[in-house]
Parts: sequence; structure tokens; C-alpha cells
Amino acid sequence: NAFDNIAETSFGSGETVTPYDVSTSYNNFYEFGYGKDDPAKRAGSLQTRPWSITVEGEAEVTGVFDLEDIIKEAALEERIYRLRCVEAWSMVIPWVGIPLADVLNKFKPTSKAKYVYFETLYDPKQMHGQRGGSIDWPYREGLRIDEAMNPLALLSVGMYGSILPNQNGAPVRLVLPWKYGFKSIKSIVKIRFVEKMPTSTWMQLAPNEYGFYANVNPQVDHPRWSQKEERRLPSGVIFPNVIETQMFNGYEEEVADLYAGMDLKKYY
Amino acid sequence: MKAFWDRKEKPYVLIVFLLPFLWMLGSLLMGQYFPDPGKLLMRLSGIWACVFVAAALSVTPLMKIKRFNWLVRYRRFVGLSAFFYSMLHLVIYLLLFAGLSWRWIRSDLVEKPYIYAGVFALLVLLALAITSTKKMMKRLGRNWKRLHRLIYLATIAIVLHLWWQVKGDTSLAVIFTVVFVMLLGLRLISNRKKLKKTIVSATI
Repeated sequence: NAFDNIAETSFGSGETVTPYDVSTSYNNFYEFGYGKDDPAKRAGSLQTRPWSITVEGEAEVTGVFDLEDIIKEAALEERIYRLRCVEAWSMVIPWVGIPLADVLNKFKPTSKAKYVYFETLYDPKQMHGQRGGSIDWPYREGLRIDEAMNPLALLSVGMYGSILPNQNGAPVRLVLPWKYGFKSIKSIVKIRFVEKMPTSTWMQLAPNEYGFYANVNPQVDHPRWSQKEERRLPSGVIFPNVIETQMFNGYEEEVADLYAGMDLKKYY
Repeated sequence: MKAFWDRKEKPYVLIVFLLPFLWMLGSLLMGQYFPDPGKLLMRLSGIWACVFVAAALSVTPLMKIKRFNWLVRYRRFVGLSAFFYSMLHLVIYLLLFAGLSWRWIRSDLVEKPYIYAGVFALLVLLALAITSTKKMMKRLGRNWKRLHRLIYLATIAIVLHLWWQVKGDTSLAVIFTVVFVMLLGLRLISNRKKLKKTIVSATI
């Protein structure tokens, strides 16, 4: 399951990578249950090969594509990114993938493509959590096209040098390190180029709490908790490792331009 | 046997009430809540606080049934346990969740109204715990009962505290709301009956 010849990048230098056991056993993936250990226990039922992605909407190239045709193994690179969950914990993960822009450009989005919409697999037989609960499945996410084209945005197929474990969003997921973790949609089956801002699952569930942008921002608290600090996992036996949360999760240099002139308190 | 239950059982009952705490402590020290004990224990300690508040609210209606009238001996115990687990919930928030980070705690206090609902419930439980001794009961007389009726307000605050912070999963909030509403509803029904009785006896 390990990849050969992954290109190294300079991202994440100086960061301590979260142990594999931690990042693969403590997950939010409600398709497999609400508990943090549910995905690791239950995601074995997910069939990740073969996997196809439907591309539709405002693009010249649309259709159903096999994952292997979209992401060539030779193009893979490793990026060590900080991951900040909206619940105020964080990790550092060595992802394997390719820039999202490289994939999206292949489909030649038209000038009408102002946003990109993503959808997770909907299959209650494989994803037991989709049989009930208050979420309107499938899980949906969206990005402004310039956000999606930002060089930081990664389409990931692996972590720690190997293919993604099911509980981490296999076989293909987004990684958007400057946004709260829930924006990095997992097990993607649909990409749609659209003209209007799509509604994401969390916007639909609680629009006053989860905005479209969901940028990591210590100045904008979640209505129910502060975002100024975070627990970098793993915590000690008793005391957590509390650190200050950085603007755009520390990726201000790379992404601040995207939001120049925007009131981030309004567009959270 | 009767002598045992009359005099010596209390320490054992205390241990039973402490079992959830000992179990959580043991699991924590064995690393069961790794990698984020604060987050998991916030939820667990909160659940146990709710369980004991529900238990405390159940004692009085149960006592009225003859077979369970011995429960009166443990009413104070159960109430104190509810206070204990609520305090534990607070301590876990301060230590394990926020890591005693003053910045974190301050910004939570400034912005998170649900914390105040929890703090209010905790203050009520504190007042009830302080006034739970026989001495205080005598000193306060009629007011003791009035004061201890604040538990109903605290229960409503707990329900608010629960609903204010649910994310995706509402099951816990639903379960405890149903339990609490039922227990408070019992009071309303029995109060109405009492009222009727007094009206009837007054007209006669």
C-alpha cells in the first residue's frame, strides 16, 4: 500500500508529525458514526477500489472518470500540513496527493465556473452512519474557484507514504489546511463546477455556526466555543498541549490574498 | 441483616456512587481516553452529572411509593453525588479541556452563553450541597424546602446547557430532556393533586 517515489516538499518543516496511531484512530467521519473511534472501527465496510468520480457542470471535459485516470501515481507529492478541527483540536499530517488545481484544470472549467462543489459517496450499505441521524446525506462541500486553485489545496490519496486508511477519507479527499477540517471533504464521488455558491452540509445544518468559508480564524469564535487556542494532539495523560491558534492556521502568507478586502467576521 | 442496613451500609453505597468516577480516573490513567482525554471526559463527566441529577429528582416521587420509602435515607447522598459529578465536569473543563489556559477560559466565558447555564446549575447545586445538613435544614425551616426547589430551575438550565451545544448528534440531549421533562412533569401533576385536595377540604 506504500507509494514509491513521492516527491518531497518543504511544507511542515519544524512541525512534529502526529503519530500514525493517533491520526488514524481519532476521526470525525459521521458517515461511520459520531464517536471519534467509530470511523476506525466501522470504515472497513467501505469499498474503495475501483472508484470513480463524476465530473459535471461548467467545464469542457465532463463525465465519469476512474480515480486512477485522474490521479497518476507518478505525480504524487508529500505535504506535511497542520490540521485544525473546528472543535479546537489539531494534528500535523503528512499527506500524499497532488495539487487540486492540477486536477481541476484537466476538466477545463469555463468562465461560468465560479465555484466547485464536492460530494461524498452516499451508500448506507457501506456507510452505516448514513442510515439515520439529523444530517441530510450525502455530505456536501464547496469552494470558490480561486480557493480551489490555490497551490495549497491538495487532492489527497494517501498519508504517511501509503494509501489513505478508510477512516481518513479513502480513497480520495480534499486537504485544505487553512480551513477547518470539515471543509476537507472525504471519499469524494462528485465534482461539479457551478456558477452560484453551493450550500455545504454544515451550512445547511447550522448556518449561524458554520459559514461557507470556514477559514481558521482565532478572531472569529464559533458561537459555542472559542477558537483562540487549540489542543495539539496527542494530549498528555492529564494535561493537554494547548497552543495558540494562528490566522489561516499559519498559512496566511499563502492564502490571505484570496480574502483581501473581505470582512471575515461576516464571511466566516 | 436489618442492623446492617440500618447502620453500616452507607460507606458501601458511597463506593457505588463513586464507581463512575473511579472508572473514569482509572481509564484516564491507563490511557483509554488517548489522544484527547479532555474532549471525551467532558462528555462522560457531563453524562454522569446528568444521571445523578436525574436520580436526585427521582428519589422524592419514588419515596412516596411505600415499597421505596427507605430511599429517603439516600436522598442527601444522591444529591451530593449530583453536585460532585457536576464539579468534576467543571474541573475537567478547566484542566483537561482548556489546559488551565486563561486565554481559552476567558474567551469561552466572554462568548459562550451555554457555559453560564451550566455555571448557574452548578451554583444551585453548590447552595443545595451546603444546606444539605440536618443542622441547616433545621435552621432554615420552611425556607429550606423553598431553597431546594431551585433544583427545578437548575434542571431547566441543564437542558439549555445540553441543547445549546449539540453539533450533529442530538441523541444525548433528547434522552436527558425526555427524562428531565418527565421528572419535572411528575411534580406538576402531584402539585395539582395537592392543590385540588386543599381546595376540596377547604370547601368542605
